[in-house]
Formats: sequence, C-alpha cells, structure tokens
Amino acid sequence: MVGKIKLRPFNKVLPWILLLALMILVSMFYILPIIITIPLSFTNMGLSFKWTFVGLENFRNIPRDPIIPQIISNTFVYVFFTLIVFNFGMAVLLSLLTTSISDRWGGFFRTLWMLPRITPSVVYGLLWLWIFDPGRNGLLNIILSILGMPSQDIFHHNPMLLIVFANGFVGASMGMMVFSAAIKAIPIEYYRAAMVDGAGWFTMVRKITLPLIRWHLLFITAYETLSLFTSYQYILIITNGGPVNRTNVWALYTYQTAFSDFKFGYGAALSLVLVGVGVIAGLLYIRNIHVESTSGNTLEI
Amino acid sequence: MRKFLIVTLLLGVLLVGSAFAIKTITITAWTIGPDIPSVNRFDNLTVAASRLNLMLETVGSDIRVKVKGFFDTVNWGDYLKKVVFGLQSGQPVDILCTGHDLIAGWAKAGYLIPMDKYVKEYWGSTYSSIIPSLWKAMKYNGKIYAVPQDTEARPVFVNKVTLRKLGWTESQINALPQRVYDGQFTLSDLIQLGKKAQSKGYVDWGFYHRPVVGVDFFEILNDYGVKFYDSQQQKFIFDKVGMKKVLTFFYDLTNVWKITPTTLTGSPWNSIHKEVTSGKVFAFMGGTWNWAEWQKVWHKTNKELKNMFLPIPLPAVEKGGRPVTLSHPFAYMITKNSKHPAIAALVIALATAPDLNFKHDLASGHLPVAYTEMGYPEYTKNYIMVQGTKMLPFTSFVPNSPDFGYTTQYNAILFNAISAVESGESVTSAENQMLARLQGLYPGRVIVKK
Repeated sequence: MVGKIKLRPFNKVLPWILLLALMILVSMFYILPIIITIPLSFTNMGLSFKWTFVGLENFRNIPRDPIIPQIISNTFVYVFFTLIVFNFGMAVLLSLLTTSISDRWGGFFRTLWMLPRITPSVVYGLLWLWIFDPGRNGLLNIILSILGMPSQDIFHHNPMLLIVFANGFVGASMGMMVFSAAIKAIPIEYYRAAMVDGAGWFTMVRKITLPLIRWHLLFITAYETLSLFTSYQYILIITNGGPVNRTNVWALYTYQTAFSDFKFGYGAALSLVLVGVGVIAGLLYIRNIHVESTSGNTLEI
Repeated sequence: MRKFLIVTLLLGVLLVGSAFAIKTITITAWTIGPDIPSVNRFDNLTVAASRLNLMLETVGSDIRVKVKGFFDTVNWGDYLKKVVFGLQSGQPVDILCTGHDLIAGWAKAGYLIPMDKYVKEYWGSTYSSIIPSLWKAMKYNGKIYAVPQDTEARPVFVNKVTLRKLGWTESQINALPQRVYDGQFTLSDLIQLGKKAQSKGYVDWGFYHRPVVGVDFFEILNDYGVKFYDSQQQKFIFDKVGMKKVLTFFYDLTNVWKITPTTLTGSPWNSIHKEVTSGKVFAFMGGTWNWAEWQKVWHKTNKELKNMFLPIPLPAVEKGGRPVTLSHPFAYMITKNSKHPAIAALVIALATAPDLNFKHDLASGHLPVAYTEMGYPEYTKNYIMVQGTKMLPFTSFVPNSPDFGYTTQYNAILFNAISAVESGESVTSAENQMLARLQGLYPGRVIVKK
C-alpha cells in the first residue's frame, strides 16, 4: 500500500519542470499541427502554398468524391479484420499459449512474433513484396513451382488479404506482450485452486484468465482500433493503395491527396474527418472502459 | 632568425589571404533519373562548372563556381516531395532537372523563374542549335521556363528472335519498321503476331506495357486519336467513344487475346525487365532509355540487344494511318530560391554543350536535343539513337498545363481505369468510374464528348 508522501516545495515544482520539455515537444509536433490543420482545411492550398479560404468547399467535396465509398469500405474491412483476427484474436491466442508453456519456450515464441515489429517498416514491406511478387520471381511462386503447383497472384486477386496479414503480423505482438504480462501477474494460486477443483485449461482460461485481463483486452481493442484507423505505412510500401484503389484506406488517401497530389486543403479536410472519427471512437471506448482503481490507493504529491 | 620568422609569417599571411580572396559560389542542383544511367544530368553540371572555373582562372577572376546537389534514382514521388517542400522551406536550390510536364505546374506556383533573357543571351553560342519543336515543351504562358536537356522516343521493342521462329526472314524483319512508318503494319497486326507467338509457345506473353502509372499510356490515346485535353480552355476532354475503344484495347489484351498477364499492373519493374530481356515477351512498350538500362543493369551487350529487339513506333490503329510515339523531354530549370540565377544560367548553358549532352545521350539511351550533337560520328553508329531519332517526327508531348505532371491525378485516373479493365472489370463500368472521378475532381472542367 502506498501512503501519502510529503515533498519539499522544490520537489513539488521539479516534476513540472521535467514535464515541460515533453509538453513543448507535444505542443510543437502534435497540438500545433492539429491547430494548423483546422484553418488549412478551409483553404484550397495547393502547390503555391497560398491560404485562399474557400469556406466549407473541401468538406462538401468529400461526399462528392466518387472514390470515398470505396475508401470507407476498405478502411472498415482493413481495421475490422486486422483487429479481430490479429491485433486482438491472434494476440490473445499467443499470450494464452506462450504463458501455458515453460518460460523459456514461451519467451522464444514471443521473441519470434516480435521480429516483424522490430524489423524496419521498409525492409518488412519489401520482404512482403518479394514473397508475393505475382511473377515467377516471387518467393511464394518459386516454392509453388518447385512443388509443381500453379503460381498464385494474391497481390491482384486478394490484395486486402495481403495487407491485413502484413499488418496483422506486426500488430499481434503488441497485444501479445500486454496480455502475457497481465496473465503472468495473475496469482498462481487461482489456477492451483481451480486445478484442485478439476478445472481444465479451457475452463481456467474462460473462468480465470480472460475475466482478470478484461481491462487489458479492452484497452488493446481501443488502442489498436485508433491506431489502425491512422496507420498506412505498410499499405503505402506494399500496394500503395492499389491495385485500382482496392487497398486504399482513409489515412493513405489523405496522405496521397496532400503529399502526392499536393492538395493540402482537401487533404487537411480529409484528415480532420479522421481525427473526428478517432475522437468519437476514443470517447466511446473511454465511456465503456471504466478502469477502476484496484486498491483505492493514491499517490498524492 | 627573427627576420626569417617575420618573413615566414608574412608569407603565410599572404598565402592564406590570397586563398581567402577566392570567392566560391555554390550552385545547388537537384536532378533525377530515375534511371541510373542518366547520372550525367547532374555530372554534366559539375563538368560545366569546371569549365567555367578554368575560364575564370584564365581571366584572373577571383570567383569560382562549385556545383553540389544530388541525382535521384529512387522514384518520382519522392523527388517531387523533396522539390516542393525543399523550395517552400527556403532551401537554396538553384537548378532542377526534371520532366518538361512539371514546368507549367511549377511555373504557375511560382517555383521557377522565366529563362527568356538567358536563352536570348546564349542563343548564338548554344541554344540556336536546339531542335525548335522542343522549345514548345519548355514554355508556359508564353514564357520559356526551361532549357531542353534530353528527349527520347518510346518504341515498341519487338522480339526478333520470335519473329525468326515464326518464319520471318532477315529482310522481312528489317523491312518491318518502314511498314510501320507507312501505316501498312497496324496495331492489330502486332497483336495477332503476339497471339501467334504465344500460342506456339515461343514466348510466355505477347504484349507488355509499363506496370505503373506514367505518361506512356497517352501514346495509346494518341494512337486511337483520342483528345484528352483542351489546352486553350484548360479543360479535360472525355471522348466517350474514343475512351471506350482505348479501354477495350486494354480489356482485350488480358481478357480476350490473353497476351498480357492480368498481373502486369502493379508488378515490380525488375520483373518486367527480367522477362523482357530474357526473351519471354513478344512486344514491349518501352523507351529508348531501356536500351541503356538493359546494358548497364541487365548486362546485355549492344550486339545481343540488336539481335534480340527491333524498335518500332507504336503502329497505327487503322491501315494507312500514322504510327505514334511520345517524348518526355527533360529540362534544366532555375528556381525562385536561386541567389545566383545568372551564374546558374551560365552553368546550364555550358552543360548544354553538345559534347556533354551527347555523352549523356550515349550513356543513357536518350536522344539529342541539338543538331550539333548529331554531328558526332558516334551518333550515326549508335543504333538506338538513330532508330529513336527516326521516330521523332511521329512524336507528341504531354500537354504543358498545370493539370499534368508526372503523378498528377489524370495520369492516375487513366491508369486506374486501365488496371481495372485488365483485371476483368467491364469497360463500361471502368469508363463510368473514370468519368465520375474526373468530374468529381475537376467540377465544371470536363467536356464530355459523346
């Protein structure tokens, strides 16, 4: 239990001084860009970088943009399946399995799953490009040809599948680490008691593990949803939204609009919509995740 | 001893002083290939600076010029970002070397300074020998914003080995280009040959085009006589009948004739070059610069390439019609950020010397921009250069308008429609989507021709 700690006046100021550097950085590189994006979204700024205000024109153009329905549909498919199958589903499965075996092997498998995350994005993306190259030079097709099987063209026929898998292999490790740590924090006595009562592995997972890590599950779900909404780097490297926009998502389309087509005003409007969706989703999650204090203790300075 | 020390010190001060008396002006140049053999676009500027320094030294000037910067081989998108954000953040960039189709957009945005007075200044010494038609591609709103650096043609490389297998004699093969120029050998004939070669198993595929967005596809529009832009009104033209024909051509390539893989669009360039240079493709819509790339990067000799490929312009659609090709001249430009535009212009003029430009042409498979370059004996001996030059009377340029540029939306919209039909989407659907996208992005600026 943590009690009340009395600090001297200087020590009271010290945390604020130390936080100041962070606050400056956050203000410069996070808050300020958001503030600038708001007026920018009401301009038609292009290559000339001129602030010509056009009112709500950019926002009115969003529903008129014929590509938008496809972008929304792609974004939903990308976020939903990456989250459910990998960032949440695979993460839960991996954490349950790797904490059910010896620490040595559990650690080994967790390290394996961390490899995509610690590999530089460009290298990782290029590896996927090489593996699934639809020509005869792709690794997958080389293997299939050795096995006497017909070559596959996932890149053109199921590009979204490729994107979900590529993102999922990176994304699963985050949840895996958080859930594994949470599972390891559960007192072993609970499991011993359950085993004495004759509970099997599935029962223990269902009755002990999952209920006790539910806040972590909710947190990762919220965090990964918001993160996926804004992530596009692997899509950019692997398909650049193609073929024919079949893997183009809102965040990537925003990036392309601003930094490939140099339509900064429209790009800013698109990004504000994304910020809006993110804020609403965040508020919904916060409303539904009532993280309670586990002991009622507070650290008061 | 004391005297000696004083004299030594004085001499030292004089030496250091004289060294500091030389004023070095740095000219920054940002250039792009992205093909690796085009590195002379940058290197020629450094050679030009050396020549200028020699002149300055000879006349006893205390000014020297140094060229620094880069030659980008990554991709167009990254280069464009570097230029746009570099210039806007005040980077001291003097010279850009890039495609002519960027001139209008960049001039309109105020990135470039007009070069009329410099062109006039060096007209007699250098620029009078530039092929006149190229100046059209250097202008925006009646002003010259750039100086031609190179040009090229975009031939179709026909696999000669396959023609021989199909029973063509050497004289028939050698006569083919003239038949194309005369409009006697049509696009349909080329497709039929590709189909035949593929069905007999001589090649894996009958026809390849570029796998990513780019200006090459305008060639097909031109071949079908489809006008897509009205430069006077600065409006897009959507010729429904013409566009249907063009999209049907691409649909048929993969879905009816099946001589192009549905997987072509989006494939890496390396795969394309590997397949083409290993003789697995009958006809490839490429560019003269590929000749140099295949030698430098794919280690083919000039002899091997001559034995393997026959460059022809894109054959006419109708019998008796004109074949087409497309040129995308590169150009040197001076930016608004240049603190020494006169010196930058002088460096450009010196870099446009026929020997330097010709060295670049030879190394990169590009074509001369000046008549003086054609006087070199190496020119007449260079197969691809001669063949490419023959195609220039049949060439056209990308419209000089802010609406065009390497990765601007029209190129991307057209490429998306082509990719869609090649993937099996119906022509009508792709055409409707293309029109909707154009109208959505350019409200009131699309003329629909029914």
